[in-house]
Amino acid sequence: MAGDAEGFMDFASACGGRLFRTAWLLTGDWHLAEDLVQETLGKVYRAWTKRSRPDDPAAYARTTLVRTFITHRRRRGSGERPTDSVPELPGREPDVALRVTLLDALAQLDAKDRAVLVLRYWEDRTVEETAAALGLSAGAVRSRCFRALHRLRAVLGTDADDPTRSGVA
Amino acid sequence: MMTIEEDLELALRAEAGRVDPPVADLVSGGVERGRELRRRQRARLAVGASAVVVAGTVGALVAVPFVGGDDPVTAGSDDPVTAEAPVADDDVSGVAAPGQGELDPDAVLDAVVALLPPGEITDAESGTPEPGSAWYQFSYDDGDGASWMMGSAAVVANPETPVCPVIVNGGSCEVRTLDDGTVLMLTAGPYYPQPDREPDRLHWSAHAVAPGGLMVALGEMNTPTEKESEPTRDEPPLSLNQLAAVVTDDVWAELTAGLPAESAEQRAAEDAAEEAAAAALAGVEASAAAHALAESLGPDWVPTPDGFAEPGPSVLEGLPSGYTAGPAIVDDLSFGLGLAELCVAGEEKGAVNEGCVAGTAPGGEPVHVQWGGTVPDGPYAQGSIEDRVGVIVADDAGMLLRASIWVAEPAEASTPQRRAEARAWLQERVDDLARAVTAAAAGERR
Repeated sequence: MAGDAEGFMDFASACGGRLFRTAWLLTGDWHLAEDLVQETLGKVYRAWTKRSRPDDPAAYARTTLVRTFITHRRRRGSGERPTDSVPELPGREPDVALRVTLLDALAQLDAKDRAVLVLRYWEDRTVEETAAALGLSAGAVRSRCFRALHRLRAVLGTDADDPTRSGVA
Repeated sequence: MMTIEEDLELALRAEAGRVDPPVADLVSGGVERGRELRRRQRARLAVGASAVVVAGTVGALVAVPFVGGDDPVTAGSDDPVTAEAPVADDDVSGVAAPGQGELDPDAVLDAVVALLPPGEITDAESGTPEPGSAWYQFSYDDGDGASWMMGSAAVVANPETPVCPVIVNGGSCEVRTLDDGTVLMLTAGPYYPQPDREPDRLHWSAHAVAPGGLMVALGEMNTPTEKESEPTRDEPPLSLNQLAAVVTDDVWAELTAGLPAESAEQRAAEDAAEEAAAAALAGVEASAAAHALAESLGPDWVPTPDGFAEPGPSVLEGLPSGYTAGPAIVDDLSFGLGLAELCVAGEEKGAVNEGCVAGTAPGGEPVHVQWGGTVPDGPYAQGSIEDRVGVIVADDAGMLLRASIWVAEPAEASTPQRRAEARAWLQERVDDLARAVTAAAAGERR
């Protein structure tokens, strides 16, 4: 195999797991997550040539993943719900019920709101980076984030109007 | 007490930590799709080549000889594989027409089924990622419970000798060399490598690698599907010896006779051809886009190699010296974004986005103009002071295009007066940008 195809394999092997975890959090569906990551890696492969390759392939792949997710959701409609689940592994974390409740609430959000929360709180991206990845303005990211957290709070039954819990920026 | 944000962060981390990404599948699937995308790209290049030559820009770059370069290598016309079992053309690009020298996935599937004890076969699938290899999978029920089976056959020039993986889940693995030099690897144990994850989901397999480069693999499970199902039996249906007999059967040598082994050199040549074609296409597309953009912006806009257009000397008149102007860029923001979201006014880390103002392009089309720039005197106004203007076209079909340009100068040189002059210069560019973005929109609609 050519030298740069090998470089791609190294890249894809190193990044594939993390991309999959993001895809899993976005979709909650094992097969959709696999599909999303393979599509993403396919697009990176296409862009990976001798003469040019993405300046920062990992960032390019992460952005491609979330954009593919958004367009995929648009095509398939937003009525879908996650179908798969990973078996529970008891005894490894303090509050399984809270996690399950939060992820369930996350799954009920609009795809873009979910993407905003996953990018901000799992990938730890800034508002600006999230905006760039999703093609939103920073203001739109902040307002979506605020609204989405508000809904999660409502699901958890915590004080939705507590202004000390609304720090989003 | 934790905030909702902390709760969410912990929940996402915990959830992400629970999954075990199938990295090998992701990588191989990604490569397969990437190759497919490149094939389609080349098919488009073949279609578009004459138009580009007429346009007279960079016709000489079009690598026409590469088009169709991934046609399978032609074997002898008496090739026994393809003579009896033509392969359906399911390649959407229509470029990589299967033909002689290609392993027929259906024949591979038929061969493996014929080697199994009698049983019911359902959900069978097969395919060829490369001309010299085929994969298959199906559910097999010998009457004592359905079993998922999957495997492959391939001819490769420099086969790797199988080596047992490190066993961490209580399974077993053995490698033997047979009299004819074939190396056989047999594994048995839980499907998942983690010891505590579905220990009753079993996966047994046999891999045979012959000295001539023939590789045959067969795996079986005690569950009806690969994932997310309950075991139908205590163990998979075939013993390891039965699996070994299947992968070392003479039928595989017969099926693959006459197939050229795909060599590393051949693969490298194909990759190089693909890359050259993709690079040529990217160059053609960027150059054509830059020329179209420069032309629609107006006189003295200069196309750049990366698909943008820079203001030329006469356009730059009026911009205070010491300022840098970026190229004009047209962005397609159509992926699910609404105009209202794009036009939200706000400030983030020292950069202001103003709300959009409705306007009219020189051609009469409605557009939206949006200004933005660095907040002066703030903590972010250390390096440079930037201003930018964008002209947006949106329609009911969801199209959202923006032409924009920025100017900037070092923060220490910035004064309100200089900034006002720079903004006035940007204001003079709004009509150019409006022409460019409406032209791009017209192109999209065609």
